[in-house]
Amino acid sequence: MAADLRQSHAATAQAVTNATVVLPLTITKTVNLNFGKFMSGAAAAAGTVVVGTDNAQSVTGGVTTTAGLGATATAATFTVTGEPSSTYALTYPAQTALTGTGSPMTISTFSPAVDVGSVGTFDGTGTQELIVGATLNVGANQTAGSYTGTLDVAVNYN
Amino acid sequence: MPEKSHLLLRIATLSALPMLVATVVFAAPTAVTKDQDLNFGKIAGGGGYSGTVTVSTSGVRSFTGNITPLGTSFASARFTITGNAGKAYIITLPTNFVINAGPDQLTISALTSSIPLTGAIPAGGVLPFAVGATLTISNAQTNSMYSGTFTVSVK
Repeated sequence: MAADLRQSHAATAQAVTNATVVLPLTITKTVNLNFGKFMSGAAAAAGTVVVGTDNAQSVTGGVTTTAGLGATATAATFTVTGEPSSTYALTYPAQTALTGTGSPMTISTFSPAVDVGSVGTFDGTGTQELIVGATLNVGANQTAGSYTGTLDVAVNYN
Repeated sequence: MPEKSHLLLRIATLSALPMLVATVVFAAPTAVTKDQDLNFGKIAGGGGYSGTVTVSTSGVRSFTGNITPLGTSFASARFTITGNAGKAYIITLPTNFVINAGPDQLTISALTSSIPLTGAIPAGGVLPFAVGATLTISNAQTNSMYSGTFTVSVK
């Protein structure tokens, strides 16, 4: 004969539950990338046009320019927002082509401002201005005219 | 000789008496303890982005909508039931609960258990189980660290 004493009330245990919500990232272009005006072909050689993060235009190889021609050059400017103090990584396209009257010209190098680089950290405001210069490859005897393209910059938390 | 034979009969009768044994078994109370908290980890949401995040009982995180789960730190909750082997148990989980960051709230619902909510404690008297759940993030959710508690009861 056995007697079974039943529990008249339940046993309980408590668990903590945590979740951290962070602001989604946004990236907005505020200034387009503009290589300005320049001349190709004087030496019948290919070259490059560079726009620095200070908007200064410079050329190499067979490309020539003047102060007046380069005055309209601007580095691209983006505003990136996200969770304050979080780190993020920027991704640039490997290559972007500008198309126009002649053969396409490609942008081979993106040069973000030194203090941001390709990985950034938001300060307490969660807003970061990103200035991006670039280098454009210009063919020998590149046909004169306007060339345009689009540049996609992606930002992700890392 | 009549006296001797009478004594022998008495001894034989005594040895045939059955043994009566009374036993009382006190059942060990069924208990439940928490081994691990529930953690959804870090999620980019709010600011126009909404959706749900689910942590399964096996600790796998998934999502719906356009929120973005981040990082690798998240876990299902874990508990252990102890009690007498063979004894029936009933687990009760909350239907939903709220976790807070000041006045802001996140609703947790659809709690799941890794074992049936009713069953029997196995041999050994120890029965671990995990609990998963789903978190809902609104498109106006405030970015913050949210925390709260939930209670599991076992009978």
